[in-house]
Amino acid sequence: MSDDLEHFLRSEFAARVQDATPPVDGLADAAIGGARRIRRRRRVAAGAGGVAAVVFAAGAVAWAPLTALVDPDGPPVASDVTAEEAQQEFDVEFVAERQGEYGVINTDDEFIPLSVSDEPTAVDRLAETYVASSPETVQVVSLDGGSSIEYGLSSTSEFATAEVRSDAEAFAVSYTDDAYEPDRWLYDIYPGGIPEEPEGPSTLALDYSLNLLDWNDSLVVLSADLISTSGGASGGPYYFNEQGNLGLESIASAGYQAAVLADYSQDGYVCVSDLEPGTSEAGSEQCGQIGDPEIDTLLTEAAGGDAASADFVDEAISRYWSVDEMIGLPDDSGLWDSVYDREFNYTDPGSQWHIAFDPGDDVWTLVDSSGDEPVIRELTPPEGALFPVRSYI
Amino acid sequence: MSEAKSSRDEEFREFVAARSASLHRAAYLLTGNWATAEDLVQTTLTKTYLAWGRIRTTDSVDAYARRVLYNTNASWWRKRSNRERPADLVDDRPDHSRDFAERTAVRDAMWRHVSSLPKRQRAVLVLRFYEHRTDAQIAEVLGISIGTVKSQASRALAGLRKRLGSPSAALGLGVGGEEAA
Repeated sequence: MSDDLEHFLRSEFAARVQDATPPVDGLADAAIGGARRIRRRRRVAAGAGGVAAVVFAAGAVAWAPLTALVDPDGPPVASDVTAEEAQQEFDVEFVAERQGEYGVINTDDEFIPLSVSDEPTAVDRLAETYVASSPETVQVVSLDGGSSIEYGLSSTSEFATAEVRSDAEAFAVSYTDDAYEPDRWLYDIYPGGIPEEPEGPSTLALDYSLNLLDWNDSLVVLSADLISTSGGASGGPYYFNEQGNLGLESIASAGYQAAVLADYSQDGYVCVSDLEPGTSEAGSEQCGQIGDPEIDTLLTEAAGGDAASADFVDEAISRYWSVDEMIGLPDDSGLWDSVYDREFNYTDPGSQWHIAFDPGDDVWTLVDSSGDEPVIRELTPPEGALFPVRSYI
Repeated sequence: MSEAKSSRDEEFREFVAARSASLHRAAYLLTGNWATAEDLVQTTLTKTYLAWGRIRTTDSVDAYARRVLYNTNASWWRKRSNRERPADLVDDRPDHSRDFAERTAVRDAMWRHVSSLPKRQRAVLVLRFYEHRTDAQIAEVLGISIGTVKSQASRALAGLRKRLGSPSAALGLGVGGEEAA
């Protein structure tokens, strides 16, 4: 009987798909496009942790001089910007290689060595330090370059990137696991300073579908797809963690009291998981709209009585939605090809600029958002500049 | 676009051209409908491209994509319709008819039984009986132990046997199996 059944399964499976002609056209390009959007979103989200992100109103960006290519009758050409002007006007600092050494050119035009042997993939400025990320290590360097500490990553990844907490007092390095766990993103969380007695990071192991938005000492805010399951209803319990294998238990293990999932399609809709810090379990979630007294009370209680929790979550969500507006530029504006499809994109967490360029470019594109209306300008970077520092202070 | 990036994308396109049909078929057997299968394959390929830089030079690209496919399906809770269990399947037990239409109906019932299995059990069956993988290979793809593979397969087959009796009997191809109620 067993052989019958197994034979039947073989023939049935084969028969079910033998005449199928699955679509192939466009699959690869759609995957490449989707992956790039994810990377871009991660880069932008990582760059928006501190304060409100750059927001472009659709069609409101003055595009010069490249605008002329798109619209000859467009807005007037904006002036180019030199490295010195960028340093003075926008407080831009640059990561540079000089005489075989990597460092930061600060706004006083001083070269601050980063004490790294390989070119970092990103450098962030926190409250008291620079954080230089690379695929294998993270180097935390004091602002004068006088002291530093190196953290080795438990797994290497070309996508390793630091995500900075909104108060610039801590950062998380996110990366995929080389041990073939494709549905997990790992976040190693470190202090932003240089501790006298360093400890290992606390690690969150979360489902690929989640994005880390922000965190404080008691709770972690993540974006997720909630509406397609809950329909936006209030109450609960819901079992997103259990059914989706989201990994919220790792947040409890890391010592946090609550995990907050913020829906990525409905502004302000959240589901809250009240955790037991130090355990490896996460139960069900309660859902509702941020601002509703019931959900705000739940957030406060889940975060151990921290009455500021609802505001903290609200601000994290606001930043997230600002990012959405930013990357939702109209396709026909010419901005997408000329800015966001460039190999490198860097967004100022302070909302003053966005810089994009391709490898080898002598001139970079700078979106100047310091005025009433964003203007696109051409920036000549300083000698040896590799990319700008993202500052969170 | 840089030359290196262009070359990397071209390699990825070649991989997709060579392997996407196979991934689609497996995805269909896992999900039970082509629309969801397409979503699953697209997600799988997107994740694979994200890792392309580190896996493209290895000889395990296909294994990686396959593992993404199966694990993504296991973690998908958005497609809740896939989780819905069919209506009372006990009524579908075989009646030994040799009529073609009825045989087709029985095969469809069999398919519904497979569709109603928990995702991991179904994945084990697809890997074993469609992809012809060994238990060790199945364990590697699903990230579980060989013992779990065996127990999941055993439970899946026992469940199907209980519902269907002997397939050959159900299809009128032989004698035996459990009688219809």
